Amino acid sequence: MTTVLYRGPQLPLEWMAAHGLPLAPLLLHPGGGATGHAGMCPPAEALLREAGAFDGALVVLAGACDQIRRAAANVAAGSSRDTLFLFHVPATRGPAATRFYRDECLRLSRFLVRWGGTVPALDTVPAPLTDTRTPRHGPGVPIAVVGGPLLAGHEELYAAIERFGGAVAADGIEGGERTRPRFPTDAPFRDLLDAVIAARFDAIPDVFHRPNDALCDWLSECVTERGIRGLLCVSYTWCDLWRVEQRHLAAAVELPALFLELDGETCLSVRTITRIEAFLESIS
Amino acid sequence: MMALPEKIDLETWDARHAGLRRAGLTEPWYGGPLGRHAADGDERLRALRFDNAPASLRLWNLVLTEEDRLQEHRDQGKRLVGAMKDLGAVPLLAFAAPELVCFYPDGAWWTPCIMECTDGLLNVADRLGIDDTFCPVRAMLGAFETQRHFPIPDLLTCSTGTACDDFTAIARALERLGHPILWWEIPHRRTPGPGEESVTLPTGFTAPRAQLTFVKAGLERLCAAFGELAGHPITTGGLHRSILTANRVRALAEELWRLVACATPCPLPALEMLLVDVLPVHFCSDPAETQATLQELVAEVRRRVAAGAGVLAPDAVGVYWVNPVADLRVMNLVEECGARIVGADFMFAHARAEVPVDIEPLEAVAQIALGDPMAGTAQDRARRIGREIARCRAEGLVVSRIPGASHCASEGGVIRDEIARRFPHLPVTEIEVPPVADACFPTLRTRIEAMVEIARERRNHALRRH
Repeated sequence: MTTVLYRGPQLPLEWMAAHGLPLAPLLLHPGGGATGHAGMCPPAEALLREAGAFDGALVVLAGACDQIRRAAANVAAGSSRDTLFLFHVPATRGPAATRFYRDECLRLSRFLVRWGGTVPALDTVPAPLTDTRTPRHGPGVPIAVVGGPLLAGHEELYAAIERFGGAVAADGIEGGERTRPRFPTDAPFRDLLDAVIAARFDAIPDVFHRPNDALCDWLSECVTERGIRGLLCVSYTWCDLWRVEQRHLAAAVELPALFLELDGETCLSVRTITRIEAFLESIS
Repeated sequence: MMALPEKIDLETWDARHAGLRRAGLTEPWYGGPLGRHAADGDERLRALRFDNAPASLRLWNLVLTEEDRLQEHRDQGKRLVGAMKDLGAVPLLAFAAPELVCFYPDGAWWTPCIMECTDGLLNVADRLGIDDTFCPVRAMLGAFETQRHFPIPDLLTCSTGTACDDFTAIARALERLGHPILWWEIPHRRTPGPGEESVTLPTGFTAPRAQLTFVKAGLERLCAAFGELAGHPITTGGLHRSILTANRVRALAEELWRLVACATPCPLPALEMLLVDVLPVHFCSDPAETQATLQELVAEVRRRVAAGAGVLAPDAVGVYWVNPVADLRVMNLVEECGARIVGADFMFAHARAEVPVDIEPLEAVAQIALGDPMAGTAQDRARRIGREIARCRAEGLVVSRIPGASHCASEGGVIRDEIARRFPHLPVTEIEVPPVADACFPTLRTRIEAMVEIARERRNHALRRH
């Protein structure tokens, strides 16, 4: 059965899963020193570099930033098989955007059915996909982390934080609690698609939303409720959206902040790790 | 005082202006010698070479006095709409109400060049955390912060969705500085799927009907906000009139490009053509003056074509140009290298496309917005560039990268590949132009000259074969 590799928590994952094809997150890897495109962010570059390894799988990507949209178009142009699906996630909110997102879900459905999926019954109750990182509630200085998706191996960041006496009390990096779907428990269930839209499109705060107060509200709430003492911001080189937003977030929550810019390094550099250590030391 | 067409420097223009005035030249209220703009701080003008026609003088004066014009509109009680990013759609809505005037704060991206960075806008942007890894449009942020280069608009709009990350991020920074933005969205244009209802857009692309409906819904929100700002609803009649005015301007700009592409010698320089291309985007805040200016230019160019007169050597190599240059001086440079620009996609090609008049006005504007070549894939844009190269018989292609712009990381390669596939021997060069490019000029010159040399050799080879 064809596997569907996906990237982006904004995708209607439970809707996709209901089509019966196996789903797996698409892990992209840092390229080390092998960077070839000035101006291209490491995840987009990894997508281009690793596209050859997707053979046989379907790839569904959330088109939430210019870099990934362009890389996806380049991958699609270089392939003779129509196996890549770029899902446009609206940046704005409102009835028209919701309708558009729903249309994208139906278009995605047709794509999955074409590749062997089955049309799901709309009265199926969604099974929340729990591919997000497990929250760690260890001892240590409570900090929040925010950022986009990490490349494989860069999760080492979490271990480094704990090693130096920190505890991630709010995980705002993609794949953490921020991007977990929020299926309402009190609202009456109408249909599968509506439920997924409410849990993901309506509920997950993200960097590309315009206007974008939800992300700041989410972080501020975490800071207030959890006694967070520092903010660690992670972004990749050339990721304009996160770099700008993180400055705003840090100013909004008025906490000491560390801005880490990662490149395509295969593991965190000594400099990066030392900066994490120094940051935690200074807020302890 | 008739003079043969030629390119002249600022000092010569000022002397010529005095002579023209003595000979009875009448100018609109914003007319005058170009030198006064340089004296006011537009230092880059001293390094440029201009076309010597009075029509070109009017063009320059129209463009360089926009700030005064906006202030005057405000003083007269008009409300200012600052449209960002869409480059050609929102003004069609705003100008439907006579109480509104629309302009693009994005235009500040040329301010560091024009003022040779004495404006300090990029430094302000640096200070606000938007450094030079972002596109030079970050100057806009500095302009809002210093409030010195245009009046702060009464209402700001920005298109998002398929927009480049730089702009989306910079506009977000602007919002955080306390400038509320009315966001609307253009989705990433895609090819319609099998059986999906589709629409052919004025720029030649096709898009799914669902995408157009989404864009239209955003424009409806804008119309509602503009109506509130104007004090009365935006009417279909107002939109229709606005579209007709826009189409007259667009047709004039298109006619100029047609004349310039076909005539030998080249009747109007690249620098003035870049300005011409900007005008249909928002009519320089004055649709009537824009139309009059373009009419005068068309008449001048027609006269030159009829007389077989031009501003460049007859053997200048025709090139197609992709993306705007942050440093205007590069438009002179390309001609100094023996080339002429016969066609261009300066990222606002959709502002030259005729707006459909036989459909509902909002749908027509939505078609223009979604038809932006930048709204789709680089592959789509590259294919369109290929068609344009064939149409204007370009002999070479220059892809001008914008420093820091997210689309420039990969689109150059895509365009090169498409052009190489379609025109295997057409020389292509890729350059990068910062706001003041003086330090890069030797490199830029070498690259452009190499391309021109190859194109000329190809031309000679073809002539020998025949």
